[in-house]
Amino acid sequence: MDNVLLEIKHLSKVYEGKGVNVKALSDVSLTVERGETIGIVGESGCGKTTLGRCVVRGIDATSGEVLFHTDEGVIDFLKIKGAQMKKYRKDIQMIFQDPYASLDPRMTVFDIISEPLRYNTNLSNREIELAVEKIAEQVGLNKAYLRRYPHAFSGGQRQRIGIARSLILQPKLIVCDEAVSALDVSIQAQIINLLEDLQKEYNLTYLFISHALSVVRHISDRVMVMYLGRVVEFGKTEELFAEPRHPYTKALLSAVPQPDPDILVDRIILEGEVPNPANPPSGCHFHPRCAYATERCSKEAPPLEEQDGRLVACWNCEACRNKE
Amino acid sequence: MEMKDKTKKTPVRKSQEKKSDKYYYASQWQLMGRKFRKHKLAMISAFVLMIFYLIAILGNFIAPQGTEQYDGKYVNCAPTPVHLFHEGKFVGPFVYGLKMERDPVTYMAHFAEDTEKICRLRFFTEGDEGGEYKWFGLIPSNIHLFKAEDGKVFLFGTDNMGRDLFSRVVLGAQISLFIPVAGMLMTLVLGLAIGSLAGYFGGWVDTVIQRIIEVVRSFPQVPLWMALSAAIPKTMKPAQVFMLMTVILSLVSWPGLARVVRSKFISVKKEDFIMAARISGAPADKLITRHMIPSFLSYIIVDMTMAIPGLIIGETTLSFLGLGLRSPATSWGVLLQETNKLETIMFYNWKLIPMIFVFLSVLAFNFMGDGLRDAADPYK
Amino acid sequence: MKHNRKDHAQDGYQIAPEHILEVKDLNVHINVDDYDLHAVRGVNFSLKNGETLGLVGESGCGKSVTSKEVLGINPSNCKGSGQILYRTKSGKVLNLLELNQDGAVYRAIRGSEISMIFQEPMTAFSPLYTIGNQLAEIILLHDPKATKASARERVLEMLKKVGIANPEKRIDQYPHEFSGGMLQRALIAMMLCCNPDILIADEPTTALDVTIQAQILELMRSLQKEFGMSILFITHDLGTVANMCDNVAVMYLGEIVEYGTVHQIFHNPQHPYTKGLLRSLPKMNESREEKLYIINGIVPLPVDLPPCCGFYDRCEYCIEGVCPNRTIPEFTVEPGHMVRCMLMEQGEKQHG
Repeated sequence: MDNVLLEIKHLSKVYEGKGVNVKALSDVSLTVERGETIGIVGESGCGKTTLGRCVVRGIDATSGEVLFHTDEGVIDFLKIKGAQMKKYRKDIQMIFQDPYASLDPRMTVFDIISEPLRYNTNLSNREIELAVEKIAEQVGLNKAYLRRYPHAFSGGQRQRIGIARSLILQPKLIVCDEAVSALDVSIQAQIINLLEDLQKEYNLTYLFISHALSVVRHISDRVMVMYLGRVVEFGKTEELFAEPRHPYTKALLSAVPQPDPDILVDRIILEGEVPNPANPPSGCHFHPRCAYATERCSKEAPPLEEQDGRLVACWNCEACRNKE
Repeated sequence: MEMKDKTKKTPVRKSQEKKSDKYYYASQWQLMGRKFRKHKLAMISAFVLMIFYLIAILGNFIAPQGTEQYDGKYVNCAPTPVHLFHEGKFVGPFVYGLKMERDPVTYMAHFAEDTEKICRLRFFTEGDEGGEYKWFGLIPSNIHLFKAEDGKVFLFGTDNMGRDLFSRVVLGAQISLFIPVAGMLMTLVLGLAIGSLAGYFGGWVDTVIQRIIEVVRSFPQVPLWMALSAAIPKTMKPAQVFMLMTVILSLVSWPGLARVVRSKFISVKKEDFIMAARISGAPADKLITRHMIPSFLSYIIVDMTMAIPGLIIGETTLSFLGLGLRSPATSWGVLLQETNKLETIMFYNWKLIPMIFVFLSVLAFNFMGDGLRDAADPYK
Repeated sequence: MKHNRKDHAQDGYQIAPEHILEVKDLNVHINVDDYDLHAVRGVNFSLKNGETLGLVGESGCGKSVTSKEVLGINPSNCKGSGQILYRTKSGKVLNLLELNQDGAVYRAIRGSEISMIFQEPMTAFSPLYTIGNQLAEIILLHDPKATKASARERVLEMLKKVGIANPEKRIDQYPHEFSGGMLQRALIAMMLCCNPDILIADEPTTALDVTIQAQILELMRSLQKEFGMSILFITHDLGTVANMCDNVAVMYLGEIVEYGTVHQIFHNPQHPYTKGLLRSLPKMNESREEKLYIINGIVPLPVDLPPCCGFYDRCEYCIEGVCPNRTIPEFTVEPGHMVRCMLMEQGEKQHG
């Protein structure tokens, strides 16, 4: 068996509205290896959440494939049905951003965590009970509180419940959609460490979607930067953060306020706003805000090309690198 | 940087356990109950309604007369007051005997108290002939809550056939209070089923159902009611009429509910916890019954509660117009039929008493609905 | 009770000449259903002219309640006590807590002397009127000499100043036509229209994207330079604080646990909570291999709190029998650097 777990190929999603079609995701490809964490960053409207939801089949992608490497060969996760669906559905799970909206307030914590087991396995009640207790202990939930309802818990504890639910089917891949963004700083660290510990223990693979760059840098092995539905840069975390190549990545990284008054980054303040995804700029979507934009940028969209181990979509990479 | 469990070393904070454990283990309905109980007016209303329904259920026992009992001797008799003292001496509850008098000017007959004759009230006693009934339709009995010894007690007076209005109000409550609830339950079933189909599946199913709803809702409601009610054969038994009335009421009201259910479905479909359940492999039926319907059922119940007053008034209106139930079947609307004459209001104003009950029950349902609405989302 | 407060505050309060605002022993109780939340517990701080003071803490630490109490916009189930001394533009020192929240005096202060911008700028605008109308209304309200035409001129000028492109067109647009960043700019313009002495910024950039956040912070900095107002900056984001503030007050469970200049707080934090908070943050310039530091436990509810350190049950250095059982005094580390922690006492003894 190769080390590849998932191949996302040319994934696109178009939201059809009244008169306007919003291309939330256009032609995104990505190969994910077993046990790694891929960070997906970008600002609102960049398509990172859509990407995550398409991969877990929370929403239906418009086109493209999500090839899932199993023991029985490669299957397209987006097309499986029936028995195959029952068998592999559990392998790709998700942790949600909002620990309040993602737990059904009418169910006890035990019912929430055990629900996936009831749909996907034929375990007896006793076995389910043991499994839930085991997972609860692992994510740091007090067993004694399992019969309580979610409203008894704080944000961080709720996120632990969500993690327990996504973990109980022993998935291969977990999509973490802004999993720590809604949490307070001190709780955020608890959850990040928990995710890292669980990854080691179960050899989990994460798609870590977040707008918090420092968190993504901490947790990811490789990072993908998205802008208005397209990938603009993709590379190893250390390298990408040390030396961003796409002008957007540069601006994004420099905009992060550092918790140290002495670090005075030479801020690149971007002009303007993220354009409306329903009506994106022509050519390279970033060109109206880009300091290096040339005429070509407004006409042709740059392809995502490899430059010594890094994927970048920019016509003027060399130019903007030389400028430094 | 290892984790240290500090909680073992230091005592648990009191404030952590401040909210009682019960709160943590409380389900949605328990939380709603807690909130509802804080709404004073709604609690009082719920209590009033409980008493009304209890009276209706035990109607045959509480009413001194059956629906078909009448006494030609006491026509249009005013309410007889219940006394405790006779000439300053305590006798216990009793009524005076009745004697008919005529107004020397108008020659109108009316009844006056005959203070010579004391008729004590007896409780839990055998009723008059014709007062037989069956407990819950099974056990035959003729025990009534109260009865005047050798005399007549008409708490709310009598009508132009000499029937005891109090008994009629109590027995009428059985129909006036239960038809709306039965109608609502049927509406709930129809509306939930049809609305769920439209909301969950969407697409052409939704389109077809939407069009049907629009067509049904385009009929003017009152004429439709009237037309359907007028079609009820006059020979039908009261029980069958009751059933038909229920069906008619719900046929008119399900589209409104179906529409609400549909829109709730569409909005709840986007909720994270629904997507979470779907990702964990929940099949469609489980998604609908375990997550989606429970998430808005409380709102629907509030809607229903708020709709009951409309149905009470609807039934009263139809019966008042002579289109719903007819004598000898009794409902508050039927009782009010007699009030459509000026002389009733001038001389026999006690015949308006049923109106008080319509008024009270409608008001109580509205207040209770108000309280339920405030409690419907305990997670805010 | 708040509503019994008089419209004229007593005179005769004194504050240091360089201060514009002094909050002394502020306590706020919030009455929720069955219990009493002690949301703010004896908070003291002062704001100098032209200073930016950061009020930092996690949710539930009382930072928002404190700032809203200054502006007198807490809901009626909140009860504040203590003193909030404010020097008005006319030079009089008022105790804002004595003022009737709905009275004319407070209304005149609110907006024209102390302004606030929020996390959700949308809620500050009415969807029914154009941005221009709403801004002009503020000017007309606070400046009796302004005419409609002059107000419009002023609005245009302000919109330009906050960097809204194409203000002639934007002035006649409705709030829903603005993006979040633009709306925050418009809100800042609205605040500028009144030229306040104090700006309270309650998580003004939390809802915005990183690149937009950088724009807004830059804008606030340059406007502060130009207009010289004092800013009370409320946020949970330590990165923003480090970049924006002169002084920082770290709050936990309704108390200021540490106060100092931004350098003192970030380079020489003394309170275990401040230290933990800073260590638990993933940083851009640190090795990625190391695990994040964790503060255990959760923030408790401030209900029925005995005199104690708010942080004792999460603290690694908690001193048994001391921290949970007594009021913690303030210790001075160096001039301008205050810490509320019993460890400081030991340190002092050792040093002494």
